[in-house]
Amino acid sequence: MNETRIKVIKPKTGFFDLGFSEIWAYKELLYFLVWKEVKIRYKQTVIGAAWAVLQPLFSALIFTFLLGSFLKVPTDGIPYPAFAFTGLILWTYFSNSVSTSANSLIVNQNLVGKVYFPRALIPLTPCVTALLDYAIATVLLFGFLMVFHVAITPMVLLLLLPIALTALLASGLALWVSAIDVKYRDVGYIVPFFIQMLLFATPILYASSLIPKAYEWVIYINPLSGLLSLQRGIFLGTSIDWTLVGVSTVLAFAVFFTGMIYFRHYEKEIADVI
Amino acid sequence: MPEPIMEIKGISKNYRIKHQAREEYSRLSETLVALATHPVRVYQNSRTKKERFWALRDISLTIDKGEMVGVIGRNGAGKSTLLKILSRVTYPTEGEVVLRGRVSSLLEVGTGFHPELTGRENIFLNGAILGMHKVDIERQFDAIVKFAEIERFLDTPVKRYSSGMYVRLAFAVAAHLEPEILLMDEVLAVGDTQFQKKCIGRMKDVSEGGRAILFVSHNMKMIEALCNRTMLLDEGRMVMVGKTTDVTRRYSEMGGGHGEVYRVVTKRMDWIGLANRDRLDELTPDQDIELWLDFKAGMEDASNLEVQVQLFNEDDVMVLQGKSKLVHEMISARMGEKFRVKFRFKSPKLAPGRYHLSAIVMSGYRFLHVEKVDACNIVGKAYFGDALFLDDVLSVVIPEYSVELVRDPR
Repeated sequence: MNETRIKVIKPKTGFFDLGFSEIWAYKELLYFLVWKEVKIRYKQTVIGAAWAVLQPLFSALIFTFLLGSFLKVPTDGIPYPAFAFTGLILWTYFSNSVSTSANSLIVNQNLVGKVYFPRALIPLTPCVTALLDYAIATVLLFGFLMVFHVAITPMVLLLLLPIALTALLASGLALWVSAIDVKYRDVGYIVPFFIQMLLFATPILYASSLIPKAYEWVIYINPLSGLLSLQRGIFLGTSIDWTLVGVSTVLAFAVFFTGMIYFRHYEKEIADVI
Repeated sequence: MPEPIMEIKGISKNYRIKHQAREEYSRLSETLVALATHPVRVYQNSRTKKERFWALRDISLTIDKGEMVGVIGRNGAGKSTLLKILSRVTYPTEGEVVLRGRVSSLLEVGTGFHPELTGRENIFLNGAILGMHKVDIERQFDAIVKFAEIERFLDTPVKRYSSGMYVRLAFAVAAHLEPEILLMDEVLAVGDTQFQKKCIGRMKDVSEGGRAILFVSHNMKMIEALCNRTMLLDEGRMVMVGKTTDVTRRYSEMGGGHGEVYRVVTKRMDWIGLANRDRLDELTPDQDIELWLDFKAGMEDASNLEVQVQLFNEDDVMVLQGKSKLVHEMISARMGEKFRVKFRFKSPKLAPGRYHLSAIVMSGYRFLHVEKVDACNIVGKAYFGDALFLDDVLSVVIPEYSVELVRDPR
């Protein structure tokens, strides 16, 4: 008998055992869960993939009229539609991932109560599924850049960096929020509200230069602001505040790892509480 | 001597008592307020004042390769909790389990099936959920389809499947998992008799192939046919482990095994009983048979319910079947609501004898199945007057009939 196949079921988990190897062993299940979500969306919707771009596209359109044309919000010299769309696709990824995963354990309680697999796969699935939408939206973004004559710089080679960091941040929040939601269903109500507030508290629809000096600290404690600065620097060629990016990166990692630890330690109770 | 494939070492499991199902999801605000106003009390409560309920108490068992071990016990004895721990859905409070091989469980058939996906797609999804690798699923794919007998419906969404097809497909996937340890919870009670036989054959093959099976069932015949060794649980404790026939005998001495043998597949519905049982003791063949079935909706609202009742004679032949949906609209019930479904069979003229019923509540693919509850007793006073000996009747029904003699017919 192969020694590595021995498993021991016992009450406690070691503190630093984050279960990465377990998740890795179940990577195919993650693939199938994502595949299921995509399949179902295509079967249940008429326009399927188009939803991936319509959401940020319409938001960009509305905000272009409201903030770009009427209020003339500063955008560091970039045409407003391109400016807003670049940020909104990253934002759409973030908000969809976090809001879908918040209730994910409850929605899938049938599965959680019957079969074993690393529970983290459940909140992580929306974070991966939404990446596909992001990929489609990115293709459209290049169209935007051409239409609005935004010069593409060599920085664009780093295009995966902001989404990778955002995915890390979103996954970390997803783990935190979904686990808390099992015990306190209030979270399901707080999250959408929180996300709505965050849209305005983050320089997505306006350049960070709009923010008065006295409130700059708000930008620093919000990890999304650094990631957006990076995103726009890469696609639009605006200047990047590297200090801010550094702070945001550290925060994203911190949220992810604390999320993993919290989730891991709560994981064993989920089936009993749900 | 080779090491046992599974060692259960003194496991116990306790749950905090839930007075109401909903109380468990405490409100964040309440916790915060309590924490702010009485921090010490909250801490003490969390340390000491927990009311605990032991679902399992100090269970130990070892299973060797190729063994098939049964687990029996009344409802609430801890059988399901044991399987949940072994399949790692929940964890023991004390003790540990050593598993020397891959474990797969069949806690509920069709877990993870998505109604919108086709049979083909669900095979892959369900296989992955049960822990199969994609290459293994591909390799076993044809065998699964053949076993489930759904070739023609492979590309139909499973929401269009009959419940029989659904169960066959679900079992087929699980039966091809090839784990070293297979945990089964009464899945065979569903499906038709022929398919059940096929499943039993498959399980025998599996255990002869050197794998171990732990089989939880209420069906004593099946346990006796399949398992050499059986464990009897009662109120979370292990009463006895040993040769199956000894254990099942002990179980029936305890009053288990017959009568109220039922199982709950879903938390959505509970069986209360046969409300008019006491009026069914001395029916005559020409009397109407009325069956009043009482149920209670479980943890959530239920709609689109169909209730079925089946009446069996002493030879286990189904003599009557009633399906509510054929003569009545679909039934719905609010959470926790009690409801009674009355069936009336007009003068069915069944032969004298004892009859058992089995009741089924179906809502889509999830159902409650109540098996073989003592139902009615038909005695032999009937329309033939006292002259006839009804005890001599061997047929299932005895309709009123007349006899005419015609000599020399043309």
